[in-house]
Order: sequence, then C-alpha cells, then structure tokens
Amino acid sequence: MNTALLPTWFSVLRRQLQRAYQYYLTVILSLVLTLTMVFTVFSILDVAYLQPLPYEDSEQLYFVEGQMEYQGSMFTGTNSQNLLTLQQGNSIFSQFAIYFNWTSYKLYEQPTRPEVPVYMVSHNLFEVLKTKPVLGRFFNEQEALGNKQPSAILSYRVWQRHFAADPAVIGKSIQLNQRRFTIIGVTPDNWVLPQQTNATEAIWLPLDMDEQLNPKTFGGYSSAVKAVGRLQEGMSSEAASEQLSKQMAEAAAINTPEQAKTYPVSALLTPFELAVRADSGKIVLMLVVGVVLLMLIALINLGNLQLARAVSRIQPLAISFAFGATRRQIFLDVFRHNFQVAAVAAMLALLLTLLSFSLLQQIGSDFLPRLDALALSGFMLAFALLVILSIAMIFSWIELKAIDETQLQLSLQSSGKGTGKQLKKDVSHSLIGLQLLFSVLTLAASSQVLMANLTEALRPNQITTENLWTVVVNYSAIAEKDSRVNLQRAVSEHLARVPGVNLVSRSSEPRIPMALNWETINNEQGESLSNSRVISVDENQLALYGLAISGKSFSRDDLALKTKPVLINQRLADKLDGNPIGQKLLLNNQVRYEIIGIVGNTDFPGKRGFESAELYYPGHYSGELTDAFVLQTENEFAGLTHAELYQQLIAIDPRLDLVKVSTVSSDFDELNRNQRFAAWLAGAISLVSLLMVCAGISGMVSYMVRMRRYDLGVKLALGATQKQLLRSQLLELAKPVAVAAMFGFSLVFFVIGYSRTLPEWHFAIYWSELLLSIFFILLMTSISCVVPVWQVLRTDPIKALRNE
Amino acid sequence: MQTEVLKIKNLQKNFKSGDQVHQVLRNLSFSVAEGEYVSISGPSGCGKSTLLNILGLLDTPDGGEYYIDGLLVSEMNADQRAAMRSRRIGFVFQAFNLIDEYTVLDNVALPLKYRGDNHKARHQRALECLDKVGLADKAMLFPNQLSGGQQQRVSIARALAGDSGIMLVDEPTGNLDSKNGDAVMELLAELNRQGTTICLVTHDPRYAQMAHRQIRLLDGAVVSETTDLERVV
Repeated sequence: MNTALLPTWFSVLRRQLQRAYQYYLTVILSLVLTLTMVFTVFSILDVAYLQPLPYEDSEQLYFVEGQMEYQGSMFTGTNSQNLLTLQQGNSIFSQFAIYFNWTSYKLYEQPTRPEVPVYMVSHNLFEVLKTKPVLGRFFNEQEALGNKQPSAILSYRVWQRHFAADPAVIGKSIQLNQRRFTIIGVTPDNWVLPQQTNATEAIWLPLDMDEQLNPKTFGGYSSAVKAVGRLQEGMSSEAASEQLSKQMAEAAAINTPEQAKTYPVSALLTPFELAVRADSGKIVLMLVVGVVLLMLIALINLGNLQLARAVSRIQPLAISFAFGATRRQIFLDVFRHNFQVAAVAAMLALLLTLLSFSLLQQIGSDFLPRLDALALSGFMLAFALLVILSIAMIFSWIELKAIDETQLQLSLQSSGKGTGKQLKKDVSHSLIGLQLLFSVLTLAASSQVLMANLTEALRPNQITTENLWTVVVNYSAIAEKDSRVNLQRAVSEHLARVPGVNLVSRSSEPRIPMALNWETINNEQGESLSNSRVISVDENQLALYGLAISGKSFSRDDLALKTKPVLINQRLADKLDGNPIGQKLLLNNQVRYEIIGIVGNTDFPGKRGFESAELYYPGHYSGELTDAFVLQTENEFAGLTHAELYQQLIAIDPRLDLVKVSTVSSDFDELNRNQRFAAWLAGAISLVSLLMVCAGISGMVSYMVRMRRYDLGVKLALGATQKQLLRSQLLELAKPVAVAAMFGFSLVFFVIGYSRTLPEWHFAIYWSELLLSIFFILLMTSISCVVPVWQVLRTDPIKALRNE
Repeated sequence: MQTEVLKIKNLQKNFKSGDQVHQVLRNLSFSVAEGEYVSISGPSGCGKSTLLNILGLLDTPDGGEYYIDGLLVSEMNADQRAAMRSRRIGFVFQAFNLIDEYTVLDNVALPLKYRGDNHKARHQRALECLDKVGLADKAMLFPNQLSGGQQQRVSIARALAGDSGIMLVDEPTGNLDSKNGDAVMELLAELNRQGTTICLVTHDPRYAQMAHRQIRLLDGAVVSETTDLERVV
C-alpha cells in the first residue's frame, strides 16, 4: 500500500493504533460493553422517571382500581357498574373517566388482519387526561354512554403503522371484527396508562361499544377495568382514598350484593405517575446498582491499563515539556486524546443501545413502564456527554498522576535505567486485589442469576409435548349457539382430515391459558378451597398430554351426562382432607360434582403463576366464544401455518377466526423466553467481567514488571534462571489475589447468610456453580499474571539492563 | 560589547542518596554571550549534564542565580519556566528524543504548538528548519524511518524551530558513529556562524575544541576556561 497517498492525519492515527492496538482494543471494547449497559439502564430510568407524561397537570391525575379481600389477601378487581355509580354521584372527583380492555379485535381492513388492542373508554377520558388530538377530535357527548356511537380514535402508532400516517384518515371507516367504525381522531404519541403496555398501539372506542362486555350490566370483578380522575379542589389524597373505599363498598353492595358479601370490596387510589411506575422502582434500582458496579469494575480495570500506558507516554510528554508545554497544555493534550477514545466508545455504545430498545420492549414490558417511549432523548445525550467527559477526566488524571516534572526530566536522560517514580508495590497490589474482588462479587452474583434462570427455564413441565399442536378458534362472529356448535364440529372434522394428523381432541382452553379465568371451588361443606381453572375436555385430552391419572378417567359417555364427574389435579387434591376420590366439590357454590380421579400437575416453567388448582369436567363444545383443539400428529407432520389454516377455516365459514396455531412445545418455550434471555444476559455479564478483570490485571502486572525490568535484567545477568524469577514474581502476586478471593468469597457467604434471615429474599444457592466460577476466575487471573512476567523474562539480560 | 544571554552566579546543585548529600555543582559562575559557541566538557560525573539541564530550565538549582537575558529565572515557577523554554531555549538531546508517533514535520513543529502558533505557520516554519538541516524531503516520514544521524539533524531542526536563538546541546554525537558525528558537529558550527548561540556538552575533546570557548568541569567546579585566542597563543 502506498502510504504516501494517505492523508497525514490518517497515517498518524494508523501508526498510533498499530503501536498500541492491545490498549485501544481493550479500552474501547470494555467501554463499549459497559457503556451500552449504562446507557440502556439510563434510558429505562429516563422514561420511567425523567420524561414527563404526555398529559397536562399529570401530577393531579389519580388512578383508581377496585380491591377485593379473599382469605386474608387483597386482590385487584373492579366492577364497571361500581365505577359507573361512582361516576354519577361522588364528591371526590371533579372529573372521572372509566376504561377497560376486554375483547380481542382484529383490524379487518388489513390483508393480514392484525390483532390490535382496543380500549373502551368514557367519552370524557381525553378531557380528564388533558390532552389534545394530533388529528381530528376526541370523544364528546356524542359518544356518551348509551349512544352506542361507532366512533374510533387511533393511537399515533396505529395511525403510523396501519394507516401509513395518512393525513386524510379522519372520516374513514374501519372494520374491527364484524363491525364498522368511523375514525374521528388520532392521539399524540407515547400514550401511557398504568399497567397497560399497549396503550400506544391501541384503538379507542366508546365505553358501550365492546362486543362482549356491557359496562352497565357486567357483574364480574376484573383487573381489566380501571378509572382515572382528578380530585375536587381542596380534597387531600388521604381523605379521597378513605371516601373512595367507602363509596366503592356501598356501590358494590347495591350492584353485586352476593360478591360484596363474600369478598369485601374497597378501592385503591394511586397518583397516576406512581401507578405508571408501579413496582418498577425496585427493578430499576437493581439495574442501576448493577451497572454502577460494572462501571466501577471497568474503570478500575481500565485505570490499571492507563497506568501501564502512562509509562509508555512519559517520553513524548517529557519532550513536550522540554519544548515549552505548560502543565495545562500537557493536560489538554492528554485530555483530548482520552476524550476522543471515550467518545468513540460512547458513540458505538449509543448505537448498540438504540438497537437494544426493541429487544428490551419485548422482554421487559411486563416489568418496566413506558418502554415504548424509549429513545435517545436530550437527557440521554447530555448524560452520554457527561459520561465521556468524566471518563476522559479520570483517565487523564490517572495518566498524569503517574508522571511529574522530576520524572519527565529523568526520562530525558540517556541512560534509561528505570523509569523514575513508580507506583508503590502496595498500591499496585491493592489495585489488583480490588479488581479481583469486584469481579468475584460480580461473577458470584451473575452465576447465581444464570443458574436460577436456567434451572427455571429447564424445569420439566411434566407433560408430553412432542407432536402436539394447539389450535384455538374464535366463534364470536356467529350469533347463534347451534350454528357455533355445528361449525365447531365441522372444524374438528376438517382438522382430523389434515394429512399427518392422527387425533383431534377438544377443550375449552389450551393447556397454556391465554387468560387466567378462575372460579371458586368449595368443598361439600361449602368451605372455600381454592380459586381454580375449570376446563371442559373430551375423553382423549388428558391422555394426549401423558398426564398420569389415579382413579378413573373420563369415558365418551361422560360427555353427555348432565351431572358430570370431575377430575382434579394434584394441587387441588392436596387441599382436600383424606382421599379426594369420591368427595364432592361445589362450583361457584352451586353445582355438586363428584371427584372420580386425580390428574398429575402441569408445571409452567417461566410462569409459576399458571401453576394453580385445576378442575376438569367432560363435555362437548357448547357454544362458547372460543374453543381449543389439540392435534396429535405424526413425526413427519409438515406443520401448519397461521395463514394456511386461516384460509381453510374461512373456507368452511367466513365468520370463523383463527386465534392461535402453534406447537405445544413452542408454547412452553415462549413461556420461559424471559428466563432464557436472563440466563444469556447473566452469562454475557460473567464473560465480560472475566475478560475485563483479565485485561486489567494483565495490564497492571505488565506495568509492574516493566517498572522492574532493570532489576530483573540484573538478576538474570547474575545467574538467576527464568523459572526462579517467574516463581518469585508469581508468589508476590499470589498474596493480593488470595486475599481478594478469600474476602470476596467471605462477603458472598455473608450476603447469602443474611438473606436467609429475610423471607422475601429467599433464593436457591447453587454452590457448585459458585465455587466453580471463583475457581475459574482465579485460574484466569493466574494466567493473566504469568503471561506478562514470562514475556519480560524471555528477553536477553542486556536488553533488560538497557531497558529496551 | 556582546550581550550576555546566559549568566550563572554561584550555582549549586545537590543530590541526595539515602542519608548522604552529594554536591554535584559547586558555586559555578560563568556567562554566555549572544552568538557565542561554548563547550562544557569534563569526565563522567563531573556535573556537565546536570548543568545543561539547569541551563535548559529542565531542573532547578539548589543555590545561586541564573539569568537569561538579564531575567532571574532560577526562581520562576513551572509555568514561567515552560514559557521561557518555549521562547528562548532550544534543546538537543543525546538520545534524539523524537516522538515516534509524529511525523518528522510534526516533531520539528512541536515547540511552536506550545507557543500557540497556528497549524499552517507551524508547518511552514518547520519546513524551513528542516531545509536548513537538509532534510526537507523527509518531512512526512516517521523518526524510525531515518538513520541516527538524520534523527539528530531533525532534533537540531526542532531546536531551531522556536527561533529562540539559544541552543543547548547535550552530547549530540553520543549515539552516532564518527562520520555522522562529524556531520552533526559541522552543522552546529554552521548554525553558530549564522548567529545561533550554542552551549555544547561533550566528553569528546575533539568536538569540545570546535567551540570558541571551552569550559572544563571537574567534580562540579570549573577547573579551566579557554578561548580560541588563548589556544592559538
């Protein structure tokens, strides 16, 4: 390559990088990885705590939900009738609006008929939130309860994604399931509602326009029903909270007297901003602590590298000094260089952070608020600049601390014996020990997180999933129950004819529920036993999953019985005294069912919340809105895509809708996706921590050995063997390593012991993995110590004496 | 009467070694006039390099006074010394002390950077100095691409770049063979003929005699001082 053609600055840059490629590679890589995590966590902090909500006077907004007491615990559940009663006559709120999200809707306008979240809202919701539309208008009295006005409001992202941000979208008609609506407005971007992660991508309809739930007559209590309001002037939140609970209980006594008797009803009033953040505070704090620790480790590691680099920078700095550079000018030169390095790393880190947003939204939306608003905001960029300046300042300080005027003068001497002022051995050893200590702690923690998540992800589900497919069909567009039953039969027969399908079995819901619907199970004496999943199945279903049954299973004849026998799972059986078989259970305190058998439990690795009591009863499909099939297939089954099966269903009847088609294995894999991701992340953190500590210790040992190169040269010249010198150097380094390892292990042991005294901190300890990770880090540290020492000892004594 | 540019009076410098104090320079006094070529020689350990470091404001004396252009510099602070170095002193080291990461041109322009000259002016002046030492064509190379003699000439060009008028030269031929050493010495003589004040430290009597005035040191004190005229006589 003809370097004469390259611009000078490029040649100088290339030369600089070539001469110290290990340094630049280590520093930039370490900084990029660490800063990506720092910036990602800051972004989460930014959207959760720093970015204002898109509503005026949001500090005056309050979030309302109902609560019910059951067996000493409080559960969230709101009844829409109670909220309507509150809305009509209350002295607490000056403005009050209700919303819920219930039925699944598909946008029939689009060729792929995508599912979109749809919220039913009071006509005054937007007024309460104090927000203005981007296009058109929001609901007004025309969309008040009772008018059944088919108006629709699009969220900003729905408008962008499904309507190509068409400015002429107002007045257009859209089809949601089987009904048409007219678009009247578009919301601003970054909408947020507490506990709803999909508000930014929703469509908004008037309160009385849901296909299934009529808020005036709905008798259930659901966590899907919520309200927001602004307090009357002069009303304190404490007084409002007290009055609200009282009024909610009074409304419940009128609207749902039976439930109100069994489950005392109250209400929870939360500041809206706080409700948006919910329980994320602890998680955000953990994340912040985690990245601060990582940053500390990285800076200590890189600080060591800076010290080693300072040695090589003495001569150029001394020359600058000799030719008139003031301390300030030397500092500026050093600072400029470090700023450039930090800036390059930060820019790469910002890029990676940007790329990580979509992944974060996928896996974190259940735990962290407003992830849909993640962006490189002004705060973020200002923070990044602050970080760059701080890193440059720290690096420059370290580099210049190791150098003073005397040392610069000495380095201009021609003899080159030693390099003047050196870092004291105690300080060097302390830095090595400190790095190792932090890494031991990080590795110990991450190994436990890795094992905990991996153990959960790999936990067996106790059922057969091989060659099983789940198909869920929606019949809600068909009004007549008989027609639904006929169509379900037709679908079943069709599925049985699909090549490769051996058996088709039906149930009221798939093995992994799409929504948890519980019913109260009482024993024969009427005492409450448990909330339980109640599932209707045919005679083949349980055997298909390989579920062990003690007692009797269902027969085909059982499906037609009026008084049906039931099977219960082991979890429910454990709540009964004596032998459950033969005992009777009450469902919703009404019908008595005899237990004829006990089914093995199904576990849901990744979703322990699904591991509940289950009651099965035999039955045909009786006209519910949705029904599920399980298909047993051959090994060579070609598979079914959503699009293919959907076309086949609408060929049977165009009103049919396909909700789900997937393998049972993939359904279970989806459940523990977060655990698998967390395990990967913990593994990556462990690896990064290990690499950083090895680079840092190697750098520090390299620095220490270079400082003593002349001494080592003298010893070699006087007859010491390389092995003797290697042994003595390593013995010296073994002390801080051993102390750090022991201290680190003791600290971990103490934390584990202390956590045992706190019930909420109880977690499993994976001792062998913990010890293995500590052993591994010690091994890598030893290698990091041996390599630089051996490199110096391999040189000729004369070169060491001349310090070449 | 020639102007005194450098003057030292009763200069003292001590070095501590454990509990012992070793006096390296003992009450040294002499001056250097503008345009003079002075050599300082003596056996190893006589204090000549220490003296040159003090003259070049790279070190501070423990006693006595040191004047540059009549200004008392021995009590200046670090920033004042740096400014004086940048304005008035050009230093040539035995080990060349070029910065490997910079091109030859950038090395020569280095003193001007700390004086605050702009990029264009610096490079123009640097090229002029390289031309004076006959290495203008090597401007874009890096130091390790040059021979020892060429590196030392670059070092001399760097000392000239600041237009300081005073050049302090510490054993310039120490790392060179005799041919290159002679060439460097001839260059210095030529620069002196052009008006540069040169103060040379050397242990080689041949090169010491090339100066107009030779000062001999022994154990930190002046033992003899001869001029060209006296030698002839």
